[in-house]
Amino acid sequence: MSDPVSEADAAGSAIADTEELGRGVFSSQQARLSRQHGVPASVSRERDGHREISVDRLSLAPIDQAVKNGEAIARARGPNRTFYGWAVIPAVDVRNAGCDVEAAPLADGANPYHANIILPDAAVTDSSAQDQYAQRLAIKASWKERP
Amino acid sequence: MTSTRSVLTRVSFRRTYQAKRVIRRQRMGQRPKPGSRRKDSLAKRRTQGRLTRIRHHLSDLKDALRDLEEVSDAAREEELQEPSETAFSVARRLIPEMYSISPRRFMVYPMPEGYIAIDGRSGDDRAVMMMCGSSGDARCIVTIDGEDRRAIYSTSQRLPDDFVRQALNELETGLV
Repeated sequence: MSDPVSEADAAGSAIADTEELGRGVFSSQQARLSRQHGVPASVSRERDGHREISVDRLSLAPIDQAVKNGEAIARARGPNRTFYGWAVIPAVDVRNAGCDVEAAPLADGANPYHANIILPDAAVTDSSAQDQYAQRLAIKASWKERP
Repeated sequence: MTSTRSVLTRVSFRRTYQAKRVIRRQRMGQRPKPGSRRKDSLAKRRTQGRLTRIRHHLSDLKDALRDLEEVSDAAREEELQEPSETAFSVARRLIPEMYSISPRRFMVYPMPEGYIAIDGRSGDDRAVMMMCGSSGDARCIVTIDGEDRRAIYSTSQRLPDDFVRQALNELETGLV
């Protein structure tokens, strides 16, 4: 894993094939299945028509910063939401699955390590294609428990 | 409606019965031949191994049906549309059917738009996911050794069909 870099360096830098991208998991069932049997496709499936899948650049983000980001998202989703960990997928596997990946640091420095997996146009209009991309990404993902 | 317990009992009974019948046949049919004792004990051990595997797999089926019972709670937690009773009854029927074709630990969980996924994996290159829709529709999404295919069904009454069976078999064998 690469050393953490400064926020200024991380923001907007190109994503290398070797980088690990983490999709936050906030559901107890998804976390349990990921630990025991594999990452469910629901982790990498957004609602119909959504082209972007939000991830963190775990190879760049200092771990405590990545955990804080996850906890902030859980708080924003509701009082009883919990951040469990990440489904981790290497950028090269995202690209091999036919998707693109781009750095997308959040405004006001809220999360400079934020990135988006971008599904191809076909997935936007065809929900079964969206399922197929979710499956391709999920089978290449591995579980990383939050510290 | 078929209960989880009765589905389990039915599958369990069928599998155990088949294995016991094999043992009984061996006991009755192979006694007279001298020198076949070693063969007998080998066959017996093989059958008992099979029984152990069946017991192990049955616990996978039980776990998948337990996942199904958690789907509503999980959908609420993930702020997804809750699947309809129709989707549940289709999933409750398909889980044991898929299991009988390819015994393994299927993961069962909610997907967006009210679908229930029944997801079977083999390594990091093979997956077959049956999605049961709230209006009784279904999708079968397959990735085997880097090749994709999918089928969409307006009704799930005739499932599992040949497409699903072949996909489930390829979880073990790879592309045929």
